[in-house]
Amino acid sequence: MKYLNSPHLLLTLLAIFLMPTFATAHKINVFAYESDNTIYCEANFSGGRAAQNTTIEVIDENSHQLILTGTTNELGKFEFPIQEGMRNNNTNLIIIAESGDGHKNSWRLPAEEYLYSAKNEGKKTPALPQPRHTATLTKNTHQSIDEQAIEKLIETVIQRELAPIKRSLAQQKNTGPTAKDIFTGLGYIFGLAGLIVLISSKNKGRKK
Amino acid sequence: MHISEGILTIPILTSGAALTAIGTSIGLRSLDYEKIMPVSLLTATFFVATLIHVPVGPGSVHLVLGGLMGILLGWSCFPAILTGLFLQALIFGYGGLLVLGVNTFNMAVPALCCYYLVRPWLQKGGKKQTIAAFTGGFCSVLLSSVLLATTLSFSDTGFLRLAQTTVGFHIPLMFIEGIITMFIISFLAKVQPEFLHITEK
Repeated sequence: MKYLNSPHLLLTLLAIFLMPTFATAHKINVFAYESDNTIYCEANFSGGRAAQNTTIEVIDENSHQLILTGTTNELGKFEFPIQEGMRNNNTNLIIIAESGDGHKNSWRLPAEEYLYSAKNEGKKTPALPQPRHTATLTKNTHQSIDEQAIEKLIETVIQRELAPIKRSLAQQKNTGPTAKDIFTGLGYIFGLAGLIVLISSKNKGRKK
Repeated sequence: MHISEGILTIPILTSGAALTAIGTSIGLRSLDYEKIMPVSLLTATFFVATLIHVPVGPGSVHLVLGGLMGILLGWSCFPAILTGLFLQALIFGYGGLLVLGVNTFNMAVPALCCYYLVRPWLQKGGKKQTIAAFTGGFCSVLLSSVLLATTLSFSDTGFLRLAQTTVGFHIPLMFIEGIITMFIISFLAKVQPEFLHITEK
């Protein structure tokens, strides 16, 4: 423990803790969800730190064509609006995050997961039946406008409330290793070692 | 430190796999009956060490312990690291199976270099042993990050930019691994000195 008293060691430790932002990880995670006609992408490293300045590529799953590229911000986030082409072709998206230091991962966002609200947005309200009297027309128009406004308001509120749930669900798919995974790995290692010992001991026995 | 799938070109992947296969076969030949349990113990340590996140400044780093593996195991670090990385790819999704050869090479070669560089000093004991252990842990991460940059430069942009990124990012880890290796070797020298001589049997 005498090393802990060394001023050099303390200075080194201090230097480490005052280092500017850096990243080192074993894996990059990326996930995406849709809210209010915008697709939100988030990238982070294993350990939870946001993957800043990471290149995001959005690719059409069927044609493998690059739709758009971008870079994550300081929070590891990148967003883009749903394009007309995606709506018309029901495009399944592959979102690829590449940090440039050997880490790359992708997320599949199927069309049905992000196009529901986009379709609703583009959907016209059904034409009103031709009224017989002017008074009825005015009344119906007012009623329709009110209905439309209410429907839009409800949609907006639901979208806003659902956004964090969608984000949380998407994020949950990227959870790190569990205790079960760790013990499974350790079991394999010691099991393999036991197997090698068994084979070696049998070979030794034969030689004798 | 783990390169993901889909980044490297086929010639790099095959070269890495071939070199790892050579290293592993030499490592397996040096693996005798007495060494199996220490090797499996260190493989388990390597497997779990990557899960330990050390909070440093605004981010966090992950241990590799390549230096410790190299110093204690010599050529046997090849099969040990290969097994650890194989299980990490399979269970945790770190790296990948196609890139396993390159990742093993990038971690095992620096470990082996540390074995030859540090081993003669390690047996002298005292301060020399402490410095040697620190150097082993430090150099292993340094060489691994240089190899990482070299590997990526064959498939990506210029080496210099990559080297700045990868080596720069790993500087705190070099010190942390150096210190951890130093304490582990000092501890083993006091408590279980025969563990330091498993490659000599």
